[in-house]
Amino acid sequence: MLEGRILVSGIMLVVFTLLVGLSFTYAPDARFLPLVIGIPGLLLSAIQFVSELRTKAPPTVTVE
Amino acid sequence: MHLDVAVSTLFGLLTTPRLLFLMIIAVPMGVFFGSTPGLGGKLGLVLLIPFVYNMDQLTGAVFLCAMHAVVHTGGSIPSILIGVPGDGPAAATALDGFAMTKKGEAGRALGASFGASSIGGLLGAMFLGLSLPILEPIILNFSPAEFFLLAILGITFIATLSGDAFIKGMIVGLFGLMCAFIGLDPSTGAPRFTFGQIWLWDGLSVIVAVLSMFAVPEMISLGVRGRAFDVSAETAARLEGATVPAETAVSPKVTYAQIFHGVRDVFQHKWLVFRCSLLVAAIGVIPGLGGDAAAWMAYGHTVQSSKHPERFGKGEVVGVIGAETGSCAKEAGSLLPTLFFGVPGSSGMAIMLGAFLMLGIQPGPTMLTEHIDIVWSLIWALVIANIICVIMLIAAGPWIGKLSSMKASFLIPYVLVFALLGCYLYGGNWQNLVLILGMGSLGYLFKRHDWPRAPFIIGVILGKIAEDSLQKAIGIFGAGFFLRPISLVLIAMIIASVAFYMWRQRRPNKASMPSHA
Repeated sequence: MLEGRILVSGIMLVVFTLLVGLSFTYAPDARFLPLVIGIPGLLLSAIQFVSELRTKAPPTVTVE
Repeated sequence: MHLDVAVSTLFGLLTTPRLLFLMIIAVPMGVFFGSTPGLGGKLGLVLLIPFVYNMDQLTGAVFLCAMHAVVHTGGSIPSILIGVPGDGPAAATALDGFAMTKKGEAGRALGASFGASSIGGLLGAMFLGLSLPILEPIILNFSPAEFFLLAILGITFIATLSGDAFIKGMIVGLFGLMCAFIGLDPSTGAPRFTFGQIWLWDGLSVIVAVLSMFAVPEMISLGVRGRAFDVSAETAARLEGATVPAETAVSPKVTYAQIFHGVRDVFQHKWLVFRCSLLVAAIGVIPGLGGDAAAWMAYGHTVQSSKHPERFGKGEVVGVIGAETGSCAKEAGSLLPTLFFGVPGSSGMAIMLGAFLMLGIQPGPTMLTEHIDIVWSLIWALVIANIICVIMLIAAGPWIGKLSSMKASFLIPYVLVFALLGCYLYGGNWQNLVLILGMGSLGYLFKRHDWPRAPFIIGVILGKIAEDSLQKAIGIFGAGFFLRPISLVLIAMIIASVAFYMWRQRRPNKASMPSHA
């Protein structure tokens, strides 16, 4: 089952990918700041996503 | 000094029945939101913002400021009575406050808290007022180049607001900045990130951003938990078993004699209150260092300057006085960068900044030249709200214990309806309702998985300021705008801010810094 923390990181990665991709379709003046902000955001999202994938899920405690 | 403006605005506030009435309403609302764990002052601000946008600038700003001024005073009530802090700064109060309750001195602790927070708020407001003549020439020399760099400085404070979750905080902050670019590009007029929707041409409303990131997630969270109290593991560790389960909490007996005893304690430690107020108001000026840090610094100073540091944490009334003075004095300090630089001093001030923009109050040097009356009105609103608050709380003292044992979850439908109504009323777009539900769900995921949310609001607000200022700066000074003397100082501050954060993170045995969101 997909864990929530991975889901959130994945959502942010998809959002930044979409926004950066869209930015390339704008005129150079209009896309300057969105790219300056979006590319670091995309990189950080990727780092966070990979980090979440590599982190082991905390063990669940079953009370009987 | 604008002495004439200072006197006339005070006279105006006291003699305008509508303003006085709104402040009298705002104070109990602030106490209510602050004293109900799970709600908090930020949510109170968020819910009230849509209802002030029809008011004139002065009325709306005074109402919100009066409410915000007393939130921390309210936050001390559950800290003292049941050991459950309403917010981060109130956790410092809980250390000695709840220990006093267990010793049967709840009333004295409440009296000390009410007295210290009110006097702290008053002294903080005086600090803000007296610092205006010193700051005026500096602020008036700022150009768009400096405001662009100030916006960048504000963005670097996202790291501070993110606590230990630096990468998560930066991602959320950068996402907020990207959302600030929604709408028509100011230089080319081309629509950006509007997905063919004309209603998005005006950009993402700050109200929608604030409501979706705070109101909706808090209510979903309350519904999922099914109870109001939410003590973090860190707070629980700090309190070291001082908390009791909400189900077993019994409202302790509070008498007027105990309350007045606590108020007398404040006056017996007047120099401590004075020192803590000035220290914390000055710290509050530094964006990102306010909030929790200010209250703990005041508490730390109180312990350091005491002849009996071993008594703290075991029910020492001076501990309550120091922490409460710190919590309330910082509000005036954090108002300063918010009003004059557009850089919020805390996450609460980030929401307040959004409210100011919505009311048409544009932070910056013009606040000193064209809107000095609003600045002084806000300073007096802090003073008057604190006075009203202490009178109300002392009068209601014996019954106040019941407030914190109230079940907050029954508020969920009302808060959600108010949030959705407020969102719709602003702009009249039904599409905003869809947006708030979508972004609210994302906000809940952020909350549930410990992603800080305050950086999003700061990003949305500062993104617009940064882009506008950058274009003006390049237009006026060219590409070398950052070589101006004040700009170089600000660049040094940006580097120092990042370096300080990295140093703090690398320090061995560093104290864990909680997220402010």
